[in-house]
Order: sequence, then C-alpha cells, then structure tokens
Amino acid sequence: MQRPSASPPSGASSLLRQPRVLSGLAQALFAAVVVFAAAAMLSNMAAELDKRGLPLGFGFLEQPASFAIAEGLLDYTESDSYWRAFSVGVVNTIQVSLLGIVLATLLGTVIGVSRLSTNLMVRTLAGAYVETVRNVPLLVQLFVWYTIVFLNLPPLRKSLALPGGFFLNNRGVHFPSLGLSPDWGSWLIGLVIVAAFALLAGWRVNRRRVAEGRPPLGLWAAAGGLLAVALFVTAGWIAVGSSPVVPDYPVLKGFNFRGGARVSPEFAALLTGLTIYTAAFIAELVRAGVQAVGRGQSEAAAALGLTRGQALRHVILPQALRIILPPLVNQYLNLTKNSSLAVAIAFPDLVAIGNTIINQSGNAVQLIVLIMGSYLAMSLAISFLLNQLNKRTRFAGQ
Amino acid sequence: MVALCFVAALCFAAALFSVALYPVALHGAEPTGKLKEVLERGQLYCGVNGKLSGFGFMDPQGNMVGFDVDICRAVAAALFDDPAKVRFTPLSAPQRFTALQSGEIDLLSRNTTWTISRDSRVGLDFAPVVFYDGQGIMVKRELGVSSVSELDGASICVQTGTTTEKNLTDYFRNRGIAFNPVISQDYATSVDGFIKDRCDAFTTDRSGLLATKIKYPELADAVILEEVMSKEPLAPAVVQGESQWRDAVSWIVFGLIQAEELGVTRENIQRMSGSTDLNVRRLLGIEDTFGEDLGLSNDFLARTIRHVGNYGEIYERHLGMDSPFKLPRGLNDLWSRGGLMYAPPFR
Repeated sequence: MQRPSASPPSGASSLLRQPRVLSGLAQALFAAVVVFAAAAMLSNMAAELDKRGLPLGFGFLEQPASFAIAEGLLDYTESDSYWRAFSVGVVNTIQVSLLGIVLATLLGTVIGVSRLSTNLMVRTLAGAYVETVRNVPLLVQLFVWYTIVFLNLPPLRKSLALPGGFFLNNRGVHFPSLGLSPDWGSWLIGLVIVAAFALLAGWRVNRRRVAEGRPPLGLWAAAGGLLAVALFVTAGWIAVGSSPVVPDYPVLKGFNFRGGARVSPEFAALLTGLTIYTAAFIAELVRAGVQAVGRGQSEAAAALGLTRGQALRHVILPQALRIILPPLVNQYLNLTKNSSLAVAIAFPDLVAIGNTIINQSGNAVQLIVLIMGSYLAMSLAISFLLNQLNKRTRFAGQ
Repeated sequence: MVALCFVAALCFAAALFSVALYPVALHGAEPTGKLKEVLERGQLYCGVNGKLSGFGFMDPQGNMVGFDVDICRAVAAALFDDPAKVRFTPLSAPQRFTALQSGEIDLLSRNTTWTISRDSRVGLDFAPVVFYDGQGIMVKRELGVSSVSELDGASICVQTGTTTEKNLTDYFRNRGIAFNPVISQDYATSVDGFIKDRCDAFTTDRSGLLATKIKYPELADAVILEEVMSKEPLAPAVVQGESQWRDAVSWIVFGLIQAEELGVTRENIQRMSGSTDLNVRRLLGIEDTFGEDLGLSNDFLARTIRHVGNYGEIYERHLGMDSPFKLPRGLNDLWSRGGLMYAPPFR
C-alpha cells in the first residue's frame, strides 16, 4: 500500500533523521571544533614565538646548565647539560613519590583499620587524624612541616646527637652509611650462592608439602632463608676477620657534617607531608573497603574459631583489597602529582628544576611540554602496574 | 618627444610630492605596536618585585613604592601625564620573563640584570641601566668569616631564576670552593632559611642584601662580605621586537638622567621652563619635536619630572640619604661626578 499524495522524503532529510547519522555528524562537528581550536592556539603560539625570535626546538637542552642542584640520586655537576639537570629532577620526583606511596599505604592501612577498632580511644584518634589532615590544604601542611618543624630543629652546631651515630639538626638527619669493604666482590659471590641454595631448598620443601596436601610455608620459609644468609655472614666474618660493609660515620667538620649519609630537611618535609596527607585518604578507602565486605564473612570467620587478627588478615583484607584497589590508583596518582608542590619548599623536583631551566634558557613552552610529558608517563606507568594487579585480584568471572 | 616631456613632468611632480610629504614624515611618528596598545589602553601594565624594600614593595598604606616602582611611574607620567595610571603586578623571579613574553605586562622594572642570554635567547629588549649593582654574600657575625674563600663547604641560600644562582656556581667553581646550595623559589623562604640557620650564608645583589638586613631585625648583626662577585647592571626590560616602545622607555630613562645633569628638579621645573638654555628647552620639549618623533607628546619629559622628579631625586628618595638605606651613589652617580650614569645627547 502506498500513500499517493505524500511526496517521498528527500534523501538528505531522511538521512538526517537517522539517530546514527545524526550522532555521527555531531561527533564529527565536535571533533572539528576541538581540532580547529587546538590548531588556532598552536599557530598563534608559533607566530608569537616567531615574532620574538624564540625558536621552538629541543636543541638547547644540550647546552651546559651551569647552575647547582641541591641534591639528587643522579650524579650531576654544573657543567652537565640541561637534559642531565632535568633528569636529576625526574629521578628526585620518582624517588619521593615511590617512597611516599609505600609509606602512605602502610600508614593509611593502619589508620583505616584503627577507625574500625573496638577500642574507643584508637577509633577516635584515627577519626580525628583523618578529619584534620584531609581538610587542611597540602600546601599549608608542607609549609608547616618545612618552616615550623624541620627548620626549627636545632642549628648545626647544636645538633642533637642520637644513639647509633645519628645527628639531628635543621640541615637534616645525618646517619652512618654503609660503605662496601674492599673485598666486597667475593662476599657478593658467596651471598648469591647461599641465597640460591636457600631458595632451592624452600621451593623443594614447599613442593613436597603441597604434594602431601599440607599448606605451603610462607613466612617461615622466608625467615629460614634470612637465617641462612645471616649465618653465612657471621661465619664469614669470623673466618676472614672483616665485615662485608664498613660503616661511615658523620663527623662535624667545618660548615657541615662530612661522611655518612643525610636526608635533607626539604626532602624530609616533602615526604612527611605527602605521606601524612595521602594516608588520610587511603585510610578512608581501607575503612570503606573493610566495611563493604559482608558482615557474614567476619561472623563465619569467628565461627571457624579465627581470632580477630586472623580474620582480618585471611578473610576480610583480601576481599577488601578488590574494592580498595581501583580508587587507590587515584590516590597514588594524586601523590605523584602533588609532589610538584616541592617547589614551595626548595626541594629540587622536576618542576623546580624545570622552572630554573625556563629562566636560564627562556624556553618556557618546551619545558612545560617536558614537564607535562614526564608526569603523564609516570601516571600512566602507575595506572598500568596497578591495573595489572587489579586484574589478578578480581574474582574469576567478575 | 611628447612622451618624453610627459615622463619628465611626471618625475617632477613625483619629486615635488615627496618633498612636500617629507616634513610630515619627519614630524610625529604614528604610534604603532606596543606603544599604540599602551596609549590606547590608557594604563601601563608594569611588573615589579613587590617584596624588596627600596626597589619595589607594598608600604603599610598598601601603595607600591620603591626605586623600580618609580621607573614605572615615570613612564606612566610621560605617556599619560599621570603617574597613577599604572597597574602593578608583583612577580617572582621565575615568573617575570613569561609575564613579559605573554604580554601580561608591558614593562618589567624588577631589579633585573641585563645579560646577553636574556637579550637574545629569552626574548627581551633592555632599556638603559638604571642601577649598577654587584652580587654579594652575607653571613652571621658569630660565624667569624671575613672572606668568601673561608666558606668552603658552607650551605648557601639562593633564589632560583636569578643570575645570582649562576654567578654563585661560577664564582665558587672558579675558585675551587665547595658549597651546598639551598635553592628557593621565593625570596621570603630564602631569607627565612638564613635566619633559622638552614644556611650559613645568603647571597643576592648587594643592594638587596642591605635591604634585607634593614627589613629583618634578626639580621641587624649580619655581615656583608667585602667581595663583589659579579656585575649586575639592573635595567627595565620590554619584549623583543617592539623597537618603538623600547625607544620610548629608553629615552624616558635617559631623560631622567639628563634632567639631573641639567639640574632640572621637581621643585624648579616651573622656573626652568622659562630658561634660555637650549639643552633645557629641548629636554622639556619647548624647542624641537623629539617627543612627537618618538610617538609621544613633546613635553613627555616635563611631565615625568613634574610628577616623579629626576634620576637623582628618585635615587635619594628610595635608596639614598632620604631612605633608611643611606646607600652612597657610587657607580650610580652621574658620569660628571665619577659614576656611570650617562645619557646620550638630546639633539
């Protein structure tokens, strides 16, 4: 049956009425606007830079930096290139972020579990910690840690001498470091052999236990391995008469302590601030994760005769971990990005060094791109690693 | 033949036309670019320090005052006959060049050292030097140090994004002295570290050391060491490639120096306007059209001196005998008195 009077809809308008075509067009339009805006901004930037005779290249990074950097894991001297200086900053950022992530996770877990404690005082203290720390801006906390806590430690010449060769002053914490003894090579070979034997023995014992239907040894095996290594070192020490490492004690000489190792107040303040701040958020994640595990689980564990600690370790936390992991990634990313506040308290992270390079060379655009790229790479790496972990801890079929 | 006559007539007409136009082209350059932008806006955007007493800081009444600040006011007075038509932007050392490059400010008058890399790579153009300085080091008296060479292994507080940071490194490296830098982004953080003994020494330009010493009572006892570690010619800067704007700023600064040399001051300018001295008449725009040629008004320097005073007056007001610093003129005196302040002729 046909409708004779109505003219057939024209091709174009009928196409426009199809939702798929319509949404496709809208998306194409949006993409075009984004691309156009980006192109306009880029060409504007290029034109302005060109007008002022500023080149857009990364070649300048080969030039010598000729400024000093306060601290860093990488070796660096003033005659090294801008590239090297920037890498020092990147490594410093990675160092403080990784340490911060580990410490914040430990502290956060303890506080989170404490919030659920049956002990009123523990519960209240943990609650007060979370509410206080979470609600004060991190930058303010960093200033407090740096200028009020660490800079107000006693000055150099009135250092607090702590037992074990530790010294505490407002230049940092000085402590004995361990240098390798001259014959460290033979020690290393011996250690590798002992460790290999210990691992092999542990593996064989566990394989037999599994075959006999008994649970494998976890902590016990690790303790046994450590014991074997310790025995070897002691025996070797007595036999050879020298230890594998020689301690290097800090000694006050001239304007500073010489020898030993040092944690600077800037690093300490940044690490403390990041750890304490992020731990408050992680504590809430842990609390929420534990509470999300069904009440039946802890009741069942109790019915089986597990103590509260055992129930937490073997039943509750493993299940809570599945819930905690995805939002935990966010906290790790936040911590890494928040480490850029180092700039406020004189720690040479990648932003601080990047800013110095911008000032010395004038190439702001390139350095901002490098800084953005570095954070992006670090964040993606953290997400990737934790997503792998997340996949492994998920329920099958979830 | 007719064609030839026609061409000759045409040439003659063209020649006549260009001669007629010639004086017009000579008198009154049309403001373009940055200069036009600033004039049309009716306000000067000026980047200053904001925290360094003597050069640029906020007084208790909330006014921006100081030597560098008065350079901004001098430029505003020349452009608008009103020294208040300035918007001040306090900038940290790392922010200042980006602020200029991005056009957030028109003029940077923030104790900035003129160096070759900043003039080329960083994309700035400099007006004449307004203050000759040099880097120094300050230590606490109880340290008992009298020269930089005794500072081996010392921790030194320094600000990032300054020439100071590089000079310090060069100076110590050349002499084979080791040091630990403590590098802050912020002047106040840096001083705080020195006061609390985080560092053994604090370094910046010698005028800055003096200003710091006077500002913080805790440092009243600190010693500024004898050594001058570098040359620090401080100059106002504009963005690269705006030559008309740079010329205007430059000749306003030269005008301040020339006025001092000719003895034209805020007080006597009214009387000096009647002077028969040709140099004075040219400076104040009574003779000739130097102002218009720069794209300004002819009396641009008369305006500046009426509102802000000459170079010597600005100096004494903020750094010299009328200030807490009592800083002698030294290198910053006029060339005729043994200093380095010298303006090219106004001819």
